Amino acid sequence: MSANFWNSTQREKWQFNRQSLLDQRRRLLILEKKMIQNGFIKDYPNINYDSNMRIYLHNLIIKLGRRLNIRQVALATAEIYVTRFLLKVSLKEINVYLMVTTSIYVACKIEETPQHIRLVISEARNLWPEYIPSDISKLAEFEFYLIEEMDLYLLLHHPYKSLIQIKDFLNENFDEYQLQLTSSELQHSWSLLNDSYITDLHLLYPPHILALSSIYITIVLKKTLNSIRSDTVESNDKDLHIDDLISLTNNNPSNEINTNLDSKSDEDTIKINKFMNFLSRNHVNLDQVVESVQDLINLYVIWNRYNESNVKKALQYMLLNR
Amino acid sequence: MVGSSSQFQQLEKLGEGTYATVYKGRNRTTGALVALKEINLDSEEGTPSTAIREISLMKELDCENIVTLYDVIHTENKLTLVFEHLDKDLKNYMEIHGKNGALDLKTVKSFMFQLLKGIMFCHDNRVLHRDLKPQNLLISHKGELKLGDFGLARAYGIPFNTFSNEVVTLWYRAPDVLLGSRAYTTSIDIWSAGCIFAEMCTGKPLFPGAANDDQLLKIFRLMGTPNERTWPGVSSYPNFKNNWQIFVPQDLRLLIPNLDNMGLNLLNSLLQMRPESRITARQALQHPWFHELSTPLMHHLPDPQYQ
Repeated sequence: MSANFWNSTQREKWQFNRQSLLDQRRRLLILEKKMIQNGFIKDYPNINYDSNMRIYLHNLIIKLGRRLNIRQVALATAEIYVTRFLLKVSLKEINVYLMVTTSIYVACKIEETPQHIRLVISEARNLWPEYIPSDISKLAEFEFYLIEEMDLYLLLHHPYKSLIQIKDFLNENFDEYQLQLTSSELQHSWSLLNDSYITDLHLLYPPHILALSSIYITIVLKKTLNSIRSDTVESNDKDLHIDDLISLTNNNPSNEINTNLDSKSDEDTIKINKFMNFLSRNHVNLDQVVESVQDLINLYVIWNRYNESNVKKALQYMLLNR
Repeated sequence: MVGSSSQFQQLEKLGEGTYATVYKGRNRTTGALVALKEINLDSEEGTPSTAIREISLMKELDCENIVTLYDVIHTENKLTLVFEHLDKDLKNYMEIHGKNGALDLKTVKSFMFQLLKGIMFCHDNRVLHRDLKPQNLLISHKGELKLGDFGLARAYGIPFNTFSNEVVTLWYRAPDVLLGSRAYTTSIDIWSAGCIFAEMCTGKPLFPGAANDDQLLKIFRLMGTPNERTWPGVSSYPNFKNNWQIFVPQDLRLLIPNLDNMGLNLLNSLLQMRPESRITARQALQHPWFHELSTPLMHHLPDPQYQ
């Protein structure tokens, strides 16, 4: 919510690097193992906090969010809450459906669009009747559990705002950079950001890096897409598709940043060059952009192999046999 | 961070807030004094949004001119926020140390500077306090001033519904808010700072209105009744009336004879009727009236927007 990411708790308290994130998850696994050994929780070998699980949780948030008609930013906040919470708490201890519901409920309070507890519970029960209790005090209890595990740090900065700021900045400084984002490019970058919450990127890099990465993928994808299309049958479909990203994954994005600069000067390449110029003139950390781009593209590869019913069944087995 | 209630011994009641009761407390292990803000939990609505908002804002605001939130204690039916304890609020301070409530100019200058620094910090972090008044400004025995009670504070830039049934004092409320504006901006805290400035100089509240209309009238009597010429757009506010008694602006000097010209100039910039004309906290801190106080740190106040 705040313009000032640089001295926010998001940066000071909840920003990790790859190693510290790995360490934190390792600590949690050790704790989980101990709890299983001591008989506090049962073991469910098929329950893992892996990419499949993360896509599943993301979809749960989107589903309930749509039913409650919640703004994208509040959903993004809920996604971060889930990611943070699951750095501290094992999936095997909790009811993920209640966790998702509670995250949305708290996120709505923080993003100043509060929803009534009864409405949230009843919509969640409509979606997942076997997992959501009718007793609202269960949600109120989970609320504080969630808040505590986040050490009460609840305000977040999202890259959506950075994306709009970059678009405006490019408009205002057109003379200097000769670059503008079309509304379809903006829309596409926005959709990429929606999906980016499945990854760890928000715990690793500042919001503007994610916004820039989504723009980079959008522009590069457009070029690749156009070149594929010019080779094949004519198509009237000018829109970009998320699925098309998978076709990109054969390329190594880190090399692409350099190689594209040398390729032939078609219109799309010129745009990419202008964008690269914009990045270097503004001293953007390119390593971070490259890593984010890579993670985002990997996400779509994983998504392509995603099997919802496996996760669903594993959760069902756990939650109904406790 | 989350502790148990028995860690603190509850002492006398300090006050009743809008949604909570505040007690003085003592840490049983260290003996240190704290302020305990107790919020009753209603099982119908989970933790109140106001509490969640106050907690999350206080966690972001790490500034020497804003009270520190040490701890949050959650029990079955209540939530206790443990704050840094300061001996007095500005209202008590003026009663005890003032001459009929009026403080000497050196103290006024120091308090105004700290008040504006706290406000600037909030505004830089996109937080509006919305309820600045002497009772919410805490004073330490070392003469430090800190902003407290963020129960009404909000992150701004997001539209919100106003609370209808809240009883809060109107004395420090900006004219645009009294006129029914919902587009709250940082300028509403600046108006309050102006009112507090004048009150510290004279020992009396500047605009002690009894109700919304009376509050406006008291402001007009001193600042002049606004019209489309002095305040373009004023007639489109929801509470605008055509039949207000016409007052001409008075010279603030007559009201506050002890304040020097430079100080009056600052006061005037804070108390602008039009919200857009009010000075920002950052600009106010750079006002020449504060030059004698300026520490090297204040010579440049980087704007986080451009970091």
